[in-house]
Amino acid sequence: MERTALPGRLTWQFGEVVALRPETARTKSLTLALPDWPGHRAGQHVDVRLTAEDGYQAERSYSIASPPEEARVMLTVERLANGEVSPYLTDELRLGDRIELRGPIGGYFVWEARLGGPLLLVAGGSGVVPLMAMLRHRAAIGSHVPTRLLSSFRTYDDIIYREEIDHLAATDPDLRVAYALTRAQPPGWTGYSRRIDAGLLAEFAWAADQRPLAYVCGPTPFVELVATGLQSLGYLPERVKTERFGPTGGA
Amino acid sequence: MTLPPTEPTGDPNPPEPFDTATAAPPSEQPDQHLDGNAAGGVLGAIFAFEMTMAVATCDSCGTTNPLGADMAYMYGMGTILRCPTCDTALIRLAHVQGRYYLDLRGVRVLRIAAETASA
Repeated sequence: MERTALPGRLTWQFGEVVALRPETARTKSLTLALPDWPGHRAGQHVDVRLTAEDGYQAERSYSIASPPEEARVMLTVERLANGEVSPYLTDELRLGDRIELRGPIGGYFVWEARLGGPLLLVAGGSGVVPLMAMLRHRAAIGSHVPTRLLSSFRTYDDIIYREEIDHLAATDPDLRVAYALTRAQPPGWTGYSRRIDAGLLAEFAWAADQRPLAYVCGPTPFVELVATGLQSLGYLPERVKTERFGPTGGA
Repeated sequence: MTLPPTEPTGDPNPPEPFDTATAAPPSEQPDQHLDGNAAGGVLGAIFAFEMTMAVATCDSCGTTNPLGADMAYMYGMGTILRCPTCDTALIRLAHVQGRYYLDLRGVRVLRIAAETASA
């Protein structure tokens, strides 16, 4: 009789940088080849650890942007001006460099097809990263789960994955996408020009009687506002999954 | 995320809720908590299970949630998971000089799925 395999404890492993791609002025995607990667689920994250020559270590969490269908793992990192880790990852890292990480982490903020929908994805800034893994996973498996993505950025040029998301939305009648630009809008902008609040959610989100499944990711105050707004619309708390990231950045 | 910033991020503009970086260090933002999901890495380094789906019953108010849905306060000293209903400290965790210190007194029952797949 076969024994049930245990997942085992998370350990640190090295990944080699095999691709680097700027997404916006402040964000960059790193693609890693990880020989010991066990595979992941859409929405999971990794912890990245940097070690200085004197032994000082700093850890940060970053969401995985790539879908489970891809063997290589893509992280999208936002550069924080005085960050300890993100400036290194976005400015210093070169192809062929190795970085240390552990993962995949988390089973809570995860979407896969069997969880169904309708799906509401709400992102503040780089909170779109784990939601992108969900969208990519959904596209990769040909899922028709009705999905709405509402994301908030400061300006048009800050929109992460814009071309890919617009392409997905243009070719998939079951996917609807809207952006809210909070600081500046380009001429002729037809999207939202205000912050995401309960009123905007009431306009764009699924009605609560459709029993939507919501994933909300962004800075803590953003997530608080959106989660509260969704509950005021009648969303069930257990069907609103949140992932906050703090002032130190990361997932 | 497990370490506080060494200095405040230098945005001259006051932070707005939708900005992805905020100006003050965590000590000035007592309610900058994360989700229990953020503690999945360090919990996964201790336990051989996917711990964000492990379910904890709060010893104080009896509320039951997956750890991923609890509130996480993460500092250089360690991590505290709190009950989202009554704020009780469920789990305190520190990693000091090669040892993990785990205080679970806020948890009445911790239910861990032994199968890997979907916990």
